[in-house]
Amino acid sequence: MCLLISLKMVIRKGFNGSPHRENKFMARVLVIEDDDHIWKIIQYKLKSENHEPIWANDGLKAMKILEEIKPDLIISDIMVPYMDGIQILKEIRSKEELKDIPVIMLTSKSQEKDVIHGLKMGAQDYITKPFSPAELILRVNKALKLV
Amino acid sequence: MRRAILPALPGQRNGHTFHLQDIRFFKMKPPIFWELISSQDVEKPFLDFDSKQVFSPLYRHFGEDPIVTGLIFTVLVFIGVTVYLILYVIYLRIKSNLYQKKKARKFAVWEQNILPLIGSEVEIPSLIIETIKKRDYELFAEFIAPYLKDTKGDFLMRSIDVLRKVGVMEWERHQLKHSKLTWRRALAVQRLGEFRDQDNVTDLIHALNDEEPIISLNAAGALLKIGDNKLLKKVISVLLKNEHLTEELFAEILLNYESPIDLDYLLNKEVEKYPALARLKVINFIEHYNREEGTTRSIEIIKKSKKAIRILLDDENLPDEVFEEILLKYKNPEELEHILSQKVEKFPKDSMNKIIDYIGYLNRLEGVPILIDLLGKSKNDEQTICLIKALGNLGSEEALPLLVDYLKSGHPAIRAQSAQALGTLKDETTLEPLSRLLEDKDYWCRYYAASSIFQMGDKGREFLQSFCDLTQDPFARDMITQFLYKPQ
Repeated sequence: MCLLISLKMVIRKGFNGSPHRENKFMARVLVIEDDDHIWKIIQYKLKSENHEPIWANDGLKAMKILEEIKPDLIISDIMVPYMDGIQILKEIRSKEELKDIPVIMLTSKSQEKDVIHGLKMGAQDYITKPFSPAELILRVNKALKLV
Repeated sequence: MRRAILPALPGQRNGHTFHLQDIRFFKMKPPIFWELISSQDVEKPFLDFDSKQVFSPLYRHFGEDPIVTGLIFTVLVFIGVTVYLILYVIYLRIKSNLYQKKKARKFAVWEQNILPLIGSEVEIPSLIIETIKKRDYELFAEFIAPYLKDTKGDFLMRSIDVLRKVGVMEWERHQLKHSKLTWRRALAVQRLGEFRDQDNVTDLIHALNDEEPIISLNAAGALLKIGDNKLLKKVISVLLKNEHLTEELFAEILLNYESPIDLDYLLNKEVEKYPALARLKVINFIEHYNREEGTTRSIEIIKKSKKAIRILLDDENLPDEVFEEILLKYKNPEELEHILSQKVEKFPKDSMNKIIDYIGYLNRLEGVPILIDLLGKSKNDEQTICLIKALGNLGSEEALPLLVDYLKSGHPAIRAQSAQALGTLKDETTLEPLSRLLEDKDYWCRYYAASSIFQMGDKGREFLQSFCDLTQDPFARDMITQFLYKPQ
């Protein structure tokens, strides 16, 4: 317990210079990803850049979220339950209020064909797994025209 | 003086008052102890009770039957063992729950605190490293491995640094070398692959030659995760000699490779170097890529795989099973025609006949000249039959004179096959040569001749009717009647 407290203290100290202190978010990013671990990495990375991440772990949840809020950017895995990334992209592009949202496709190496299809459907960019979180953030900022 | 009052045992009149100091009697030598408890000083020996009275209810019911006593004993043992097992399961459950809770608690703390640190540029405090190092490096390995599976770049490099400092790398290498449990060694191999640290390469190469396929094949996958093209070549050279390697496994292992694969190496150098079956495995891997049809990469790969197949087919020592496998997998007419035009003498007749048959069904007129050429040269009856059949399926008029010639063959099957092939051409000039076969000794020659003439429509039927009226051969008349008057 003692060690745990000291560990938390050290971490707080380590975070003194991080951008988490600011409350105002730069952009709202919807992440459609069924892998919990990838979501966490993207989440921390987006937070570190002061973006607001929102998580949908399947296609239907993503569509439900999109009915309520309009994110500034969507990062979508191709293989997600219920509706795949391509279907989601198709839905987004067919809706007047959502069609301008930039989409970055996140995909595994063997889904190259889907990526090409996705790009044809109007995806902004794509990134293949394994991915570098730093590179992802660069692409996010580029898609948001922050760089 | 403290006293203990023993409860009255069955068969004992009253509770016996027993001094704790009397316990020293038990430490005495047996004769002294028994003398004392039988002496007048001890009012009534407390051990003196009748076992029959203690278990009196049982005795009343069952008497002293040894079988019944044995049964009772067995039941009691069974109940005892069951109770023990239930308690043991409960103990394991509690232990597992506690471990899971501990794990979840730790993982939550690490997720909240260590992951952002690894992902940021902030230096990870040594206190954190020391805390994990002292207590939880095994748990930490379990925690971090899933995050590394799909990440690379700075995040991966910083994670590797933490894993090294914490001692996880060393621990996993130790497990790989010294653990007696195969599954633990396999887990260590997988984790070392996920960690993608160059320092692990030596140990993984050693594991590549392990007797256990689960270790050796996982080591190959792990090495490909870590390595570059140079390592890929080394892994493939060892892997292709592994008798447990299947095509699917090979493709799966190669897909672990994260850098662009040097296909030229795989297709040219490796293909020439390794045994035919192994070479086919390389090509099958490329076939695996071919599923991604339409991409620039897949088109490039398909082109290269064709080249590789050519290299394979040009091998004079290519084993039959490999040849068969090529036929089954690569039903590419151009390739097959290439085989027919180049290799007809070298390969097993059965395999060649399969190609000829297949080309016949492809309806590719480009194949006709090759088949005609082969038919002209053919000295083997079985192959001749196959060629005639294929030409018949293709329905090529170019083959007509040759097919008419084969109606005069000495082999009944060749004559019959030629008659059948001519039926597909429906050429009236063949009526006369076919009619000669209506009086053939062989049933199938008569049958196919009648069938082919019958297929020529009204003219064919009229021809059959007039032939039937003229012929003296009862067998020919019988066959024609079958066709002319068969129920429609």
